[in-house]
Amino acid sequence: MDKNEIKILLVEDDKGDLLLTKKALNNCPQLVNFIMDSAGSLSETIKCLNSDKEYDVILLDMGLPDSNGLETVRRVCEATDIPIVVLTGLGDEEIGLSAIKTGAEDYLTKDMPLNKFLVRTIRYVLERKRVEEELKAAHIRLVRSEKLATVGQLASTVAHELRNPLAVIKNATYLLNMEEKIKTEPDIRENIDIISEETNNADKIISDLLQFSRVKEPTLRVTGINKIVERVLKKVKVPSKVKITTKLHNDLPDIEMDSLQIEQVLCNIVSNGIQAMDYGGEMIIETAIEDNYVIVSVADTGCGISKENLKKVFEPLFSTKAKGTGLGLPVCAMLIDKHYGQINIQSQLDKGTTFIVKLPIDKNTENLEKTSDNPAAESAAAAITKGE
Amino acid sequence: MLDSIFRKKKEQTKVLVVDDGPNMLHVLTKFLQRQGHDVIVAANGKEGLEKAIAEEPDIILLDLTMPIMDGKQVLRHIRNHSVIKDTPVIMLTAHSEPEHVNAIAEHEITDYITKPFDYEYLLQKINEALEDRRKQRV
Repeated sequence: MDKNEIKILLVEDDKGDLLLTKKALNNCPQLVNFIMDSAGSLSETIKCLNSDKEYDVILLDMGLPDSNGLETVRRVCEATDIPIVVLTGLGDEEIGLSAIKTGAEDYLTKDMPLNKFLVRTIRYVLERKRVEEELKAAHIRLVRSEKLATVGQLASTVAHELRNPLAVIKNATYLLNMEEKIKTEPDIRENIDIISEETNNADKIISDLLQFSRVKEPTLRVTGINKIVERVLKKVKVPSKVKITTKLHNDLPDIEMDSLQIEQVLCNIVSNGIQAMDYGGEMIIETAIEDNYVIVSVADTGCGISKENLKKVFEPLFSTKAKGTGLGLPVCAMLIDKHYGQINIQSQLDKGTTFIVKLPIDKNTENLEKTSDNPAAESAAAAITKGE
Repeated sequence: MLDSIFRKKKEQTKVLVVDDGPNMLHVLTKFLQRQGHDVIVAANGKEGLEKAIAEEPDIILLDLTMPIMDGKQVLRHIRNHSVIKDTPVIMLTAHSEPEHVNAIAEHEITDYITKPFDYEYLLQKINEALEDRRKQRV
């Protein structure tokens, strides 16, 4: 374990057993710090699990005032993914095994010398959990890359097939527009304009989809992020009711990145922010340095994103905009992922949203493990994987 | 007077359009004819190559994906042909891929246009290609 602190939720209604277990943990010879919360009933346990606190492991006594036996294990398993170690009575091997079948990771009987076994069991459980998660992440990545290859191929074929008829529609519309008669017929004219507009929208969807399905490997060159921010600001159309302020850190290191891809990401985030400020507002774009990362934050005072939608914004095809394809942010997430970076959002309804893009200064630092710490990319990947 | 010269000059431009979509051929023909161009059409690569050799057009608009003989194959034959090898070719394609940019760099195609395209853009590309060709001849 690289963390030297293990957070335990101890569920035990018997005060004597509670003390014994606490003592066993405190007296353990290993160099591990335990942080412990205790709960005396199932409802209290569920409350703890729903709070902001995070736990690494749950030590669970199955006999609680409001739940008993395997039912307790089942209920806690339903409530959380945190590994559970069941504490059973004297020599209750059979119940222990049933608890594992129900979803617990391991069990300890009360006749085992706790100070000897408890810590070992917890460590084994945590290690198993870590390996399991690694395996799961590897599997998701594998399925995603396979899926992406398939989606890419399909999208490419479909795009070709659709772009031909679209081209004909677009050109035929243009020819109609050239007709003298059209100029005196506002009704016809209006409908032709609608056809034109929707043809362009359809083309945009196809382009976005194509881009999403074949996010290219970045071509890395050493560049300054401030330059990219300035380029983005030249490119994006800013309505007069929106004020943009930049706070660019003037001593940032140049870092390796694909400047076009990062420009695309920032363009997308900035345009989203502007669109969120229908009634005007202010946007602050800031660059900074933090630990091993160069950071760009884009804060708007727009409509904000609800907690529920916040979880979905990186899922492909999710959009709350009438004309959105729901592919902009997933592409952003994947591009940033390819830079071993992170993209995070903080948002409050009616107050505004802040996007934070973090790009590593030194990619060789060992703690930068691809995708593992990028919820955005995971979400984009998970949504693709879901179709299985 | 000027107008008639202009018109005449335009009429002298012979455009070969090669595309397997009949509607595409129809709208492109209509548009180019309105611009005063002389338009010849071919519905597949093989026919396109035959007409390119027989008619010696000033410029060729060539669809990339076609049955029988695709745009790339047609292009190869054109570039290897003693008479029409220098004819400007604008590739029409549904894919915007870097290989087209490479193909321009290697003088295989004069330019490419991604479908769907604006007619203004198409005209601009055609004019640029014809202008380049004129300069080469001088």
